[in-house]
Amino acid sequence: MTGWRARHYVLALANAPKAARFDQPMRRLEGVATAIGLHRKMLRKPLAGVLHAIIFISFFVLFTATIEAFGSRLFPGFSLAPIGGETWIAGLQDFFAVLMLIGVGLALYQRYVLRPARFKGSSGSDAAIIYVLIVLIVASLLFEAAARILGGADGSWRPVASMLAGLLGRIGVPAQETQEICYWLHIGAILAFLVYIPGSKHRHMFLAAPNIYFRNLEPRGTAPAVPRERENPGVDTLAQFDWKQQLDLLSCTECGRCQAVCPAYAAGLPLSPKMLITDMRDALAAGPSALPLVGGVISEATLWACTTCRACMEECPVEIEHLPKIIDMRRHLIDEGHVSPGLQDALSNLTRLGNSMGKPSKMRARWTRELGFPVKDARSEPVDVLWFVGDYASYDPRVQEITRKVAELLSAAGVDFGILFDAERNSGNDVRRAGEEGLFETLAQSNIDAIAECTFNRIMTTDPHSLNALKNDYRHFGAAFEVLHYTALLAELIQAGKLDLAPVDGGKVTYHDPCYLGRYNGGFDAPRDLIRAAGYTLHDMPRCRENSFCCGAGGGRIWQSDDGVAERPSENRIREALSLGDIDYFVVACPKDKVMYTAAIDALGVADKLKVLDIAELLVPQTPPRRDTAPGTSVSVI
Amino acid sequence: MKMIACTEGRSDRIEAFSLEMIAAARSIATAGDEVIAFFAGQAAKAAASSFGAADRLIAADAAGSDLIPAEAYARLLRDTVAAEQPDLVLVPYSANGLDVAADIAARTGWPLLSYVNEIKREGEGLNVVAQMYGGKVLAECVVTLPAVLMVNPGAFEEAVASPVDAARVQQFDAMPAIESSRVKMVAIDVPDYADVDLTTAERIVCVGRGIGDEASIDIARDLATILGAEIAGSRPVVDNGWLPKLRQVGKSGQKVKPRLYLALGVSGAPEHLEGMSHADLIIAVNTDPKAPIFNVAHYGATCDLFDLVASLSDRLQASPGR
Amino acid sequence: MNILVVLRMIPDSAGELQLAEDGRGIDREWLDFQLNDFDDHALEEAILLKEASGATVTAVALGEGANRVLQMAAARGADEVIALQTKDDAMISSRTIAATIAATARAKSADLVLCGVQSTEDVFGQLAPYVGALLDWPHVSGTNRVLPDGAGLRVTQERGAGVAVTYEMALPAVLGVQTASKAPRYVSGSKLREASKTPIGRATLESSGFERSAEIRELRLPAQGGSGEDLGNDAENVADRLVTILAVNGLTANGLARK
Repeated sequence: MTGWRARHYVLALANAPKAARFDQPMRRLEGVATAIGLHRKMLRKPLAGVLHAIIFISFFVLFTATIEAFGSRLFPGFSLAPIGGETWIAGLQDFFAVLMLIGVGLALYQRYVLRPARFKGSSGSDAAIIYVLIVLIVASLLFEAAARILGGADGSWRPVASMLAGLLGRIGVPAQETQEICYWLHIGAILAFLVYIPGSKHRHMFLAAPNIYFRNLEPRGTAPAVPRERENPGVDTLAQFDWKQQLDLLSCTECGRCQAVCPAYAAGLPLSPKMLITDMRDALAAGPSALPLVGGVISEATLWACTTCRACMEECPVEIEHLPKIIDMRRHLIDEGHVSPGLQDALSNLTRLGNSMGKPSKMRARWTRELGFPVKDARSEPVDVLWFVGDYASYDPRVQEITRKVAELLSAAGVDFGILFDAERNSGNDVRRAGEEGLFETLAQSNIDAIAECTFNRIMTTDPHSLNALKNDYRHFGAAFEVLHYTALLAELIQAGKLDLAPVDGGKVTYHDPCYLGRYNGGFDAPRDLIRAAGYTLHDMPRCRENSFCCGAGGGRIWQSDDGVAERPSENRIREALSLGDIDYFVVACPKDKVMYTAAIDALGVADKLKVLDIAELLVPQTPPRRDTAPGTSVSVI
Repeated sequence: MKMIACTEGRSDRIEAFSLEMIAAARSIATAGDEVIAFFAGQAAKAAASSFGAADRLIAADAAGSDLIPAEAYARLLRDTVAAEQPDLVLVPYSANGLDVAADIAARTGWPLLSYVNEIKREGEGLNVVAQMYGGKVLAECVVTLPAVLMVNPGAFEEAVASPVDAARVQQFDAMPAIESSRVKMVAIDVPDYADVDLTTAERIVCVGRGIGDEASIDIARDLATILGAEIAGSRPVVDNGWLPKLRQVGKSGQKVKPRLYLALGVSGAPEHLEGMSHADLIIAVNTDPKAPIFNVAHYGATCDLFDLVASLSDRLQASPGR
Repeated sequence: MNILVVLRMIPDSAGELQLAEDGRGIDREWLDFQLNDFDDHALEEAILLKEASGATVTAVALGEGANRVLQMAAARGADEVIALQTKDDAMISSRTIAATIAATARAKSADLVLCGVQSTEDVFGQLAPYVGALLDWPHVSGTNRVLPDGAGLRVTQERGAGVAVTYEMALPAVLGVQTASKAPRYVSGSKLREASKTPIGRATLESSGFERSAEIRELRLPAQGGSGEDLGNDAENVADRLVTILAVNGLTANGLARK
């Protein structure tokens, strides 16, 4: 019956497109071991983690009781007694039965008393049915043992059951009958549980481990390529998702951790990563229907709400991959020409000019004009560091000042660097994540061609989004560059003694981890080292490092309107920083953050309390920036 | 020199720019020159009682047709040009003029200059200043006669309205031309001004492309409410569907003349300026200091419009009695 | 129905324009070129007509970046695309190209020519009436809605002050499109890449056929700022000043609030 109830899923997975998830078995197993054995992600929420661990361990121990219960009747004479079934195993069962009840008690307390918001939208009845069944199984187990003890069995290894036996004795129930009733109640509850599982989130008992095992081992920053065998770039039916993407849907436990960290959800937009998964799962369960996937099961507004900050995937205990699904469905919308006006403007500009602002390419390096020294043209002479500046750092007047500051710092440290001038295009990071794969390919190829013309050792980017695309996405075109963020290069220069900073008696600052620097590429420490090296005291916000809260600009959101936003993520974040009290600067390391948070501070009217500074603005070099370049090098200025 | 000034009207009223066309011709006329007003439409009577600044009026009377298709207008004008052999034809830059000017130029082979602001005589020809690139550039051009000019409304002061001497009015029936036109008018939609009539509004807050998105319109609307003004939009804003067509100011929208015109994020294309440049007090806010709107504004500011709207709303609400 | 749509590449005049050294044109070297917005709408109208009535669409493009725009036109649904060679760096005058467009319309047996109602460079006259007159086909400029209607078209034209006039017209005809019946669609990069394989036909410009034309003697930039007063760029200061200016002009808020 369990198999019958699971048949839809088995069929769907069997017919799904293939996915390469069978490599590196040891690394995969190791991940399963830490995720399940150590409850690594689960324990980020202490109460939920501990109660789940209790139920999880108890479940395994009590499984021995299940074996006994079925074995003894199916195979007369079967017993665990020879290996300690009546002694230490019995003791463990007795102890863990109580522990299981405590675990379920904590779960009930969490769900019905604490009621965390992350459960909003989860199936309450599903959880309740499971709690009832577990309590029934455990209680019947205990009472069966108690009845047996009442009937004369040895209770020395079962103190709890013995106590219950005393209770039963006092009430005066017949031992034999009670034992039988409890036994069948136990068996019945177990069978009910088994039959119930395939239609319930408790599938995760069986699917969590495989789903974690088959997780994505690619770099976190690589967006999934469009499979060659797929006809159109996007996905508009569930069946077009590969089997791992479909397995994800079935593995969801509805724990809502993703929802709790989602900036779009917090902003009041119609996206909950949890509901995204469960809505698709329910559609998968319902089988073929007239309702389209994109624009039906999942609304267009839901898909466009995502900032691709990756917090949901970081948080998911069973390694569900939300983003590849969103990106694939966005690809379908783009291919169909369903694009919001703001996004259409930006994408048209990118198609036409290679930047989202609609500015001429020839203006890209204009920021260098107000610099006290010329910047090398990496296309015409070799450089050590090829600086990929990015759209906002090049064009946005609010950020150009920072770009010049970075140039001065590099110059002060004697770094031999150059830029691509008008040959640089938008990296395509957010174009790709907005679902515009074709345009991404065009932009990427154009940048790769321009970079290939240059002689250099390493690439540095200002923008974490460019960093991610160059480092992770361009691999799909066979381009392998050593790419680093300017914070990493500056930290390295200070470490190597090449950049001397003038000591500052700095105040207290907090630092915002950009999604594409931190969560995507692990760049957590270099920015913090720089802040300390500059002489400031760093106070991290509660949501920092992997748990950083997105500014709301990523994945193409910066090009869309704020329609439907109740609270901008950037304003939510500024409030978080303000709650630290006594902070002078809100330090950022991403040009989009400078733009987003400056606007947020203005909108909140707290410009007198907090100021947004880029890390580069904190750093004051000991020596003034050099005004000339090495003799014999030609330079180009526009 | 003989000049034909093309004029227009709808229903029984003449368009105000008709008198500007006559004035434009008059402005370069010297002794012995003749200015002929050409009119085609239902308002032939109104034309006869207004175009006295012209020496003659040739009116094709389209009684029974509210508007006349450009195809018919151009045919009637062509016949007049053939009969009169003028040296210069002045056509207004209007929806009708857009179809008429190049049509007559192509069929006669005469040169044409569009978007004309200034006309001077120079030797045997003319020296003409015309707008290009949305008014961002002015082109000084030379043209030999005979020629056609398409003149911007607003570039010349209206001639004084006075009746044309009845002996100098030549009237004929336009209906045969309308009936044989290959373009048949089947419907005229005139907006219902029941909800809003910008043309009579005393104060207008107009938003342009700089407003960014639909949601931000509300911010401007709130300021308009505080000011007791009507909200209006430039063409891009209306094209995006952020405001109804009735609230569009400019050539293809309404021509307004309020006491206060506050332009927020409006760049000021010539077509927009045509609809509002006669407002009593124009205040323009645009981050681009080169926006043409500043050419007609009495006061201009280059700050962020959202900052300004917030600050201004605060002040106006805080001290409404000021 | 065979539709010919004309796509003109024009300098992006949203930014700063500088004059060429000879003063008779703008400095085109530092400018980006883009499809005339009205022509973009004309293309969309052509594709919408194709979808509604199964017409074939031939797109002719002129100017810097014509090939790129023709690929876009093909991706949006144009059946044939032709690049019309023009002199590099020259302004595209509608008067100059009209004869070639008319000849192309005849050569392609077109029964409808669509183009944008205006372009920023058509100081010597507009394309739709020129082509219409040269072919002696009826023409309507400033359309915002075009529907197939039996053997002809039903066309709505904006006449200003919110007045809209609807016409019925037989084919052949020429339309100067102001706004397409629907906003121009977005074409995805993958469709563009696919369309990049579309062969682009070539054609050369014929003589304009006009013996006399006006000439540009000199371009100049209009005087900046007009005579108005600059209130600066500090929102707080500007707001303070405006409150005073409104008050002085008898335009205080409460004056109307109690109207």
